[in-house]
Amino acid sequence: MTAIAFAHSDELDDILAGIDAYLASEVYPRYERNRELLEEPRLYYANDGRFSPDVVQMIREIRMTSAKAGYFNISVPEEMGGGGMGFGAYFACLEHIFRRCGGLMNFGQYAISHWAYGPSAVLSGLTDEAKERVLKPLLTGEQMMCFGMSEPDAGSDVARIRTTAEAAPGGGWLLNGRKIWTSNAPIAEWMIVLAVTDPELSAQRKGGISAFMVPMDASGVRIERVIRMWGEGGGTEAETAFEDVAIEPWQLVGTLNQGFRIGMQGVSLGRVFNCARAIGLGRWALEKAVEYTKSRIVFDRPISDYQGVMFPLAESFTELHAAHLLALNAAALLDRGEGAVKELSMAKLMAVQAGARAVDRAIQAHGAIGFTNELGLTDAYRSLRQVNVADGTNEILTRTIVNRLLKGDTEI
Amino acid sequence: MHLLPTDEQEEIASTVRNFLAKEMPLTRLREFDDGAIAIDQPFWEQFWKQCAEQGWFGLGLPEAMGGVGYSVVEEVLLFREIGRAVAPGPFLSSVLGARVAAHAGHADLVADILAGDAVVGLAESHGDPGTIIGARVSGSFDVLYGDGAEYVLVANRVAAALVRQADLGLGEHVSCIDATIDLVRVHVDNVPALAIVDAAVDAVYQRGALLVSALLAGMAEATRDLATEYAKVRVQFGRPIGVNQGVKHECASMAVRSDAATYQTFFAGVVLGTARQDVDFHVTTAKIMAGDSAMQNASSAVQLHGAMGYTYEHSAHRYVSRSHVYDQLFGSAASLLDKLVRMPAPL
Repeated sequence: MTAIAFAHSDELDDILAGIDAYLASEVYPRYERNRELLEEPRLYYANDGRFSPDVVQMIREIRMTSAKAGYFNISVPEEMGGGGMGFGAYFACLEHIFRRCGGLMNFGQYAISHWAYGPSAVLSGLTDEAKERVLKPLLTGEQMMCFGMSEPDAGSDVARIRTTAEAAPGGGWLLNGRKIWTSNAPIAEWMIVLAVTDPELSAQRKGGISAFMVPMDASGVRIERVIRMWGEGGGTEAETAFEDVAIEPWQLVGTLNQGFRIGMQGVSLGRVFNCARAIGLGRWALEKAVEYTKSRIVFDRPISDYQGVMFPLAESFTELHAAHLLALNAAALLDRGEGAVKELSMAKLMAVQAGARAVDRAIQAHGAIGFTNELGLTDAYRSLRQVNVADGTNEILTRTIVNRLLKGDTEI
Repeated sequence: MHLLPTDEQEEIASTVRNFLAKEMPLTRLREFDDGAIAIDQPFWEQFWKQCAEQGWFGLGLPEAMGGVGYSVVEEVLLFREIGRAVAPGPFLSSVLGARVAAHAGHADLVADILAGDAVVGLAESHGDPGTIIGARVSGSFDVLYGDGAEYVLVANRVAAALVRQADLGLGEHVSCIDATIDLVRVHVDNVPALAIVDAAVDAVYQRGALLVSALLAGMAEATRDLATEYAKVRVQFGRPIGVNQGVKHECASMAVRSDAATYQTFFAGVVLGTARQDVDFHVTTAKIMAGDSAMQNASSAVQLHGAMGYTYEHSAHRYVSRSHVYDQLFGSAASLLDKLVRMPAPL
């Protein structure tokens, strides 16, 4: 049964079938083998809150096996050594993975390169030396990067960043400042850091920001803390400080003083990613809920008999279906070379809200068991609740849509 | 402090309720729309006089000022019933107008209003809250219930005033979605007020916001009851539709909403006039919640009645229309929410 009238290409169908086989051979068994590691917080997190080395290794293995299998770099440009497939394929593969892995196998998402953690078109501006030293291990999945943009005083208003890269005598720069909410900073080998290189231009919001590829083990780079969230003993986000970090010319990414573009380039990919996450996880949760309602007996009847239980699920399926279509459309527009700023904003805005609501309702339909670790619904909820903020808050996305409307872009 | 009505207060409320059920049932409202009942017609005069005889217009006015001597709490109960019945007429502005006249020392005018001989319309400001400065009124207003009203109440957070309708000049007649409300748009400049009271002496505007909340809460309760009753009697697929959770859960939601509106309004009524620092917070919250409850419940009532719900002859539409109009009076939800955010937290 298919609910979408416009079918995938045969090629994409084959890829998705291949991903199923890949997940079965490399991801599910790793979860089986590492059950104790993943379920015991004291084994899962190190004392400082970052993932323990065994967990980091598991994530690395998923990247590397997927790279070998041909999925990790599926949407990386061909000229960079990737599969060259577009946004539509990127969305379909990720959504498929999230739907299969659900809230229980969160690391499945590392099977496809995310622009902030691995190779993508965003890295096309690397110098030759950086391509050799950084891109190569990123492509194999052996190493990982992260994206340092947000700062304590610069979240939605990115242009407010204060981290500076002052030109150093003899070439290169000295990096000073701090970054926060950098996902995967605690386990990555590299960070792209956005820093002010021309304070005057930056103050006028006319550029003046550059992007640098910084090794996490460079002198002066210090993870100040792993930010713990949701009451967990650790996490994937960190606050990082930079003190007189020496940056060499080969580390510049893209054009000097135009580093902001790097971030904005990644935004489209990131929003497609989060649409896939929201829709995939939302569907996973709702499908679980529907199955559960058929077998759970209350007052001598399966709870699927009760409209009070089923109507919210039906509403969520409707919303998520609409979000799915929005996302497919946005990806298709991007593949056509269009900016699709409004459409992608709408897609992410709708998907993350519909997705979070879907998981919340799935939890409700399960009753008390919905809160248990073993079902994974709470993991899915936390993930989706966060992306209602990360990668463009709902409010910022709505503002973006308003701005597009006021500029005359009112087509829907 | 009593948060629930006393026996005497329940008696007042049920007397009003029974009177309105008899004299102004929902079916009679069609006669208003048809023009069969209008303010200049005998039935209306008689009805208004009966309301006056029961002491409605001076219910919360001190005896020393010519009133019945109850408090704003009894007024809340009165207006809740008027809202429940969607009874048409300038009840609110007449009650508030009597207060303004009383404070200004116009005993004759007070007596006329309380006797039902003088009717007071309501001027709701457009945008700017209108100014009442030095016994003169200026601003752009929508005059509600101006038809047959010799006087019009203008109120804002600074003061409340009575002006003569004739001094407002000719305005632009505008159709209102509630056909029982006569609506005229006027712009006035330095019109003389025949009575003024400063908000520091009597916070008439705040009282108005509270009593509109009571009207709206009554409407929210009425639509809850209409829908629930219908859910018990309408049979589809061999069973009353109320057995379906899709229906009865919405009835339950309507009950939660109307209760929240009613009890917040009651509480605001109880604290009004006390020295508490958060009186305005409670009145503002009551207005916001009551408006939201009335509008949502009205919409649900239409939905739960199926196709009948959107017909003219069923009365659900009256609650839809009036709730939208009354939600705008004495502060729209958006402006009140903006105010609320800037207030200190309640005690």
